[in-house]
Amino acid sequence: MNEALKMQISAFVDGELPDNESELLLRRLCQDAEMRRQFAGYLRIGRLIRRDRDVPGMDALRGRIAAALGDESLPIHEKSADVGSGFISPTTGIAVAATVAVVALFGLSRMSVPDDEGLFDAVAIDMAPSYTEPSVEDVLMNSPSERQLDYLRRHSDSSPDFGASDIIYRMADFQVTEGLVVIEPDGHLAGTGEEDTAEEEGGAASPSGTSQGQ
Amino acid sequence: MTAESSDARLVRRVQKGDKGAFDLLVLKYQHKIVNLVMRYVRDPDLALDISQEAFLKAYRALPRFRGDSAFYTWLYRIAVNTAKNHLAAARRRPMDVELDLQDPEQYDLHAKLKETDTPEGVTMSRELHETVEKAIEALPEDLRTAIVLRELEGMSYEEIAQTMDCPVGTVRSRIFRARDAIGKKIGHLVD
Repeated sequence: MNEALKMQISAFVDGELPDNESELLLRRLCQDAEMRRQFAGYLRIGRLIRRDRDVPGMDALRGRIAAALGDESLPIHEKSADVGSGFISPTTGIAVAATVAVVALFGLSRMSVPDDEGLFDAVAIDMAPSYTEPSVEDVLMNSPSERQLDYLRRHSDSSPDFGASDIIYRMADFQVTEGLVVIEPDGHLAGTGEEDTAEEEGGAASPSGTSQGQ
Repeated sequence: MTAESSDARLVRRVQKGDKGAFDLLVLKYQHKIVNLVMRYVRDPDLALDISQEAFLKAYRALPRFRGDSAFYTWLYRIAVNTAKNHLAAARRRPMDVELDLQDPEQYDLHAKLKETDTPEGVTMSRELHETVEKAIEALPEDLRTAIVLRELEGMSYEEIAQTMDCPVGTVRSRIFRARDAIGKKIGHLVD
């Protein structure tokens, strides 16, 4: 133990150590038994100079108290002042920092805008509905083959009237077999002019336009 | 730093689980507490037992100590209550008729201790005191004046600095060097 430290302990015994030195010294005194022995030595010199009388066995009291306490520890009451320093543990802090870093990297990579028009296409695709509506041309161009139509007709015989396959069959049959559908210049499906007129005039009285056309 | 503020810091450290801080508080106040308890009981061994119990009670009650009063005042009350409880349990009356509990320093402990000192203890004590007196006499005058003003007159460093017409830092150094010199002279007797 150096002289400067001993001088600090001496001043501390007298309650004369400045605040800026006391905090660190207190911490060291609490941790270092040798320093506490020095502290006790200076207290003893003061008592001897003042001729204070000691009770026989007095020197053993400190050891008796320490032995009685043993490993007994106090329930620690953390005050609000301590909460700030221990609010985020080092492990939690590292985990939060790592998460933020990953999110930032991932987000930046997605948000950065390169000079690539293809990316805008990709974004447009992402934002489009998850289903597609085939155009009329596609439906007609991709009309079922004869083999498919044969399958659909046979299947329809044993399927409910309003099943999905029945509707397909009827539509395919209607287009190909009956030849009642024409494509207008604007690409919309349209029936014959007679049929349209009949629907407008008698649609309310007849439950089915098909029967009228027939 | 005043003794009170250093006590407050030590108490906070104990409350956070630092036993070394409690050891320092024991070192600082054990003699005062034992002398206080000796006002209630005649037997020094019993006084030590009661003092030990008082310190243990204080340690266990420290989490509830809010610092409304100084630590020593609080410890003093615990020690007095422990001594009184012991007397009540033993169905004895305190040996002193009237005690001024507000001023324990006024009580003459010497007369009581003289009755209980062993011959070996008396011899050792006499030798120690003679050695200390010789060590003080051997000190340079500035060191001797500083340590006497501090330990016997109870002056603060500031008051000593004014008396000796020197800086406070010099007082601090002189008191330390005086203690160091005395400590070296009595080392073989106390170790």
